[in-house]
Amino acid sequence: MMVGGVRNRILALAWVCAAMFGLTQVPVAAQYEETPLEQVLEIASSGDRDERRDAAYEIVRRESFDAPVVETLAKLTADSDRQVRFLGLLGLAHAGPRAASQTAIDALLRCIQDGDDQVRFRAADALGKIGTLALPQLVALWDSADSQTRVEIARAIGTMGPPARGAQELLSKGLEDSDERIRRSAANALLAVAPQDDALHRALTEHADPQIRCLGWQAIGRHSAPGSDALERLAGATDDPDPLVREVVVMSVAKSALDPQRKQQAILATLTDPVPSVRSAAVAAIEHAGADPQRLSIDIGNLLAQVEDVQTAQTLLLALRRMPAPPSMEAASMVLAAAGRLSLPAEEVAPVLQRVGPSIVPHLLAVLEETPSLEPVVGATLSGFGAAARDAVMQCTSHPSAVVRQAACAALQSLPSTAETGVALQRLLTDADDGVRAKAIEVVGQMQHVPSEVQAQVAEAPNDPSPRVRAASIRALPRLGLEAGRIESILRNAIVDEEPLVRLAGIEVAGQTGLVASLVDDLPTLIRDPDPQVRVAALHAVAGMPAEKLIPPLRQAILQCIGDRHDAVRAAGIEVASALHMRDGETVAALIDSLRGPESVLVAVLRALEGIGREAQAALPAIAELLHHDSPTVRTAAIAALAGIDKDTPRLVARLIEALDDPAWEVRQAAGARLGTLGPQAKAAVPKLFELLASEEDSDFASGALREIDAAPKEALQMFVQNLDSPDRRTAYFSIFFLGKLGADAKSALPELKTRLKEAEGGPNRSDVRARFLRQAIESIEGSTDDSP
Amino acid sequence: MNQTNRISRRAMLRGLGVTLALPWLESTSSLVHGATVSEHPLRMGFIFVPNGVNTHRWFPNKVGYGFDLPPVLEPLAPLRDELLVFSGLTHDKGRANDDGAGDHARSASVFLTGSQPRKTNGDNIRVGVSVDQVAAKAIGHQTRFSSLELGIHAGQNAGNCDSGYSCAYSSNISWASETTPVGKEVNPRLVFERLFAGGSAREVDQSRWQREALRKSILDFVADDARRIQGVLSRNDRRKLDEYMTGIRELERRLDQSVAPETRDIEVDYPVPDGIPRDYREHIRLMCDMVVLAFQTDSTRIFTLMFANAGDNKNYRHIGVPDGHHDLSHHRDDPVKLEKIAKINRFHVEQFRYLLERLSSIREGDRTLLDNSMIVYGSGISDGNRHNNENLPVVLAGRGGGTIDPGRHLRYDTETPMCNLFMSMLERMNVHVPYIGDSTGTLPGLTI
Repeated sequence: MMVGGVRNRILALAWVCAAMFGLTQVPVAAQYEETPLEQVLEIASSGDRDERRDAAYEIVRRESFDAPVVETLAKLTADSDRQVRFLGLLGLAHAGPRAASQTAIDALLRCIQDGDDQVRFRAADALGKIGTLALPQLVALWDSADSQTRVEIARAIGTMGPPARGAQELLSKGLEDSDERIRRSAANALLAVAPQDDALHRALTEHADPQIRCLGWQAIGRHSAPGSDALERLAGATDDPDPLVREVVVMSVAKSALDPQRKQQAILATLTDPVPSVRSAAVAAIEHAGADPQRLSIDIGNLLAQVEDVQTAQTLLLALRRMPAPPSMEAASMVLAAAGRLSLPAEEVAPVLQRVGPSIVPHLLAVLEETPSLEPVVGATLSGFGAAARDAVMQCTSHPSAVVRQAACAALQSLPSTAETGVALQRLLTDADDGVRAKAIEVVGQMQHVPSEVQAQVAEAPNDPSPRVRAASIRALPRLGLEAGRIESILRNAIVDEEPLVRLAGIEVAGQTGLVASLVDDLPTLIRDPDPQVRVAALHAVAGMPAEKLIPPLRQAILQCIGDRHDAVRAAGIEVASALHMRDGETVAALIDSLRGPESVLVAVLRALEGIGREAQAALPAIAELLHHDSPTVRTAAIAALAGIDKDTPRLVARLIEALDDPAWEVRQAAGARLGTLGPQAKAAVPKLFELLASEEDSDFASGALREIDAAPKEALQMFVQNLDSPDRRTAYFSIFFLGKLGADAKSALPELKTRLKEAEGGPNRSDVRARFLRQAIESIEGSTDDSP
Repeated sequence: MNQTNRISRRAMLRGLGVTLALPWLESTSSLVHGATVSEHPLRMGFIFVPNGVNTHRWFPNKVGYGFDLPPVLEPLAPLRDELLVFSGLTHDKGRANDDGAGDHARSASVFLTGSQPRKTNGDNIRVGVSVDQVAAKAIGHQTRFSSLELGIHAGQNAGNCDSGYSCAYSSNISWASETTPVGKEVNPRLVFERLFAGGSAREVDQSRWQREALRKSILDFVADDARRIQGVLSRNDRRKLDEYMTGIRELERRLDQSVAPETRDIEVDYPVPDGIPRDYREHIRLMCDMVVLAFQTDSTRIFTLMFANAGDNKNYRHIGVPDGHHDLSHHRDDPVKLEKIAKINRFHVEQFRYLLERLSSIREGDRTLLDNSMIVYGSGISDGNRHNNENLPVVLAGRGGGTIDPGRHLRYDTETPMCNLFMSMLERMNVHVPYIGDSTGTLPGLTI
């Protein structure tokens, strides 16, 4: 019999020849499919890396787990190749009870204590699937095991299921561990070994840890029999102090065998919970609370009548939408009342009312006459019915009440376009009420295709006596297919209209249609308009203009807006100044003066100053003060601005180092990133960044910055030496790396480095990667010293 | 026609070379047992995006219900109650595991297989069978197409695409066997033809010729059948059938427009074959529409869709990001690059939202098509700079026919295999396998 390696090379050569002649039938991946098992086992133990991998793959694939196979798989868990080790663990897991041998158990017990997360995790999985053979050893291991191993021990026991009941005492100990991961793993394992144990469920629900209570309540919801005390306690747990627990409780109630009326009560109680996420859970639970839908909708309606805050009301509306059955008419009335009282958004109320069906339309119209502010709700509801409420909508277009006619306008959009709807629309365009006319024009503005007679009517509307109608007609202009010259003429008149509503519409449409440049001479006046909304719209319209159109009066007007008393105008002015690349001293001075007010304005100013860069040195003191602002967004923007402006690098580095202690992550991250961009000039920050490697949140940006800085201060030498054996791999590697960077200054660290190199090259903690880094560092230090060989 | 006759669920509208499956209609209630509501099958789908995400803008802070939607996921706000967002899922076999560079190729090949790809750029490729194909083998015979594999860029299936890994790994997420990727279709027109072609090859060709030459719609070819069937439908169903056929006509129009002469002016920096839309957003949306049609008509119950191949370096100029996606993903914590990545991620999520909204607009009895689906969206890499494969960005949309409680953010212990999610999905599809990839079991917590 040929030795595996030579045989396979000949096979491979034969395959290549076969491939050249198009004779390949079997893919190379299956090269061991025909190979006898004992040979595969031998290759798995003695072949080269690729051969061992393929052999291990084949062993797992065959799923024939007799004793020699199990023994080989156990050996593979100690292979030098990671993939082979994984296949060994995977094979033992797949073998399950067939791998119940001491050899396999010993290998897995070693692996469950490995430093590698995946190895531990897989070992626990395999131990659990093998069965209870390893249980006594796992129990014995508990006390001496570290936290991560205990998590995996608990997981392994849980995987064993009910046969591992003997470990309940140990797992109960785990429930009281100070490490939450161990507690959680122990709780899950307990539920796996004793899923229907009432005493266990009770104990879990009374635990101090809310996550454990969640598990307990879920178990009760799933397993408790109808009429049991446990279910009653579940229903009462909606007042748990922790919102996460209340979320789980309400869903568990919904799915439990609790009496339907009791379920409904519990869910209703949670619908008005002060915490939004709990209310969300209650809404999700509504689907399972269909005992008496009519009663339920009325109960929710009653709740709506009592709530005072819009957010809770919105939750209740959502619940009515999600109920399995449509709400009753009585509930719908309560919805309308709440909508009027709380000014609820039409888009959230209308879907609820639509569920009742077109029969609600007469009621809607009656309520609308009493409460005209409900027009948007009624309009949205009618629209939502579409063709189903066609007759009602057409009748409403001739209703005596203007408010009803307005609602009908909105609903016309949802009807298929016919001669009849066209006639109705034309009539509404000439309605006596200006609100109706304006609404009708709005509808035209949203139509895909505007009939020519309607176009002509709307084109005359800019001359309407009502400013609302004039404004609506301006907004509908882009839809009318008029030629550009006519549109421009209409807009010129609009921007000098006596009413701000019309001027606003004019400038906005000018921006949309690209006609702003032709109105440039009027823009300075618009930017100084008495109405702040018009000023903002004019500024936005200017932002898209080419820089050469920035005539001096326009420039002055923009500068004035940067100091405007309205924050929205200031923010728009700042944005436009940035967009037009205004960077002179006057602009910088105006921006500095504007460093006040709400967060949005501050951030806009800081970004504008950052964009100006080094020409904005005068702003540095004011910006530095903002490093202590309450808002992390402002502090972050201040850091970016400082980094873009400050020429004094040491001062900048000092400020950025200070910002690495900021309580907000985004601020720290911004500081870290900016330090990185400074490169070696920021080496004073290395010790602080090094500390941050230990933080899960900050280690990513810290390591990025360290790589970019690529230098270290010699004062950090001791810190690097102390961290050579850090359990965090990244910290350890950076320690080695930066010692190398210190060169001759790190000569005193050479003995430490050489000791560790020996360990990395051979011995239990062998690591090729670590050895390589150590060698490089040592070479770098020795190469830099005067007395190096 | 006999009023007691109803339409078979498998009824089709037929014409020359055209077969148009019907959507779910009340009138297609089960005949055999006299039930008033037909059962709706579960569907599953998988969407892949490359290069990881801006993880600081992806993962919610709050666990459980009412979770916050970070900026990248914010477009999904109207559908938050239909989603499960995961933290902690891992694809260990996407890691190098002593194989060195090649993270992108690994990230795509591991995404649905959970298996370590063999590092090769020859033809001795090997990874594992993907979850969609595991399902397709078990249940694919129940539909006209066992599964649908879609994409936007074909990519290559041979050659070295990533540090010694074959292009087959980067260009495919669907694998029928350890050695056989299932090629994806990137031409929406061809997908459309595939969905609606019927009859002999000659009839299909003739139909296509007539439609192209005479600018006819496939609906013109089934008009007679449609008129016949209208007579036995309820009022609601007639409206639904109208909407369905209007939707098909609209889709045809968009297919024509997407390759119309004026769209050829859209600037792209990669070669675009004839018949492929140049507008990337429109291309994705057309593919999403194909998925919806295929599900709606029960032509298939399984799909995969790659928004781009692994390591894709396309620019996103149309959303104000002129840089290459892959280049940006190596952000080195530069806040400017991170924001651009977030923009790209958000753009992709917006297209995902488009698909979900389409699915949720189609009613199936008391539920919607989305309710009866499980759609996974994610990447095989978490942070594109670190190329790490733990804590992957993954979202599951849909209610699995009522077997999933969405509306939550679920956080799992690190190293929880993503394949455990696949096992849970397979179980719900009634596909029972002992494992897939590196799974250790099912994923707890999908239902409370």
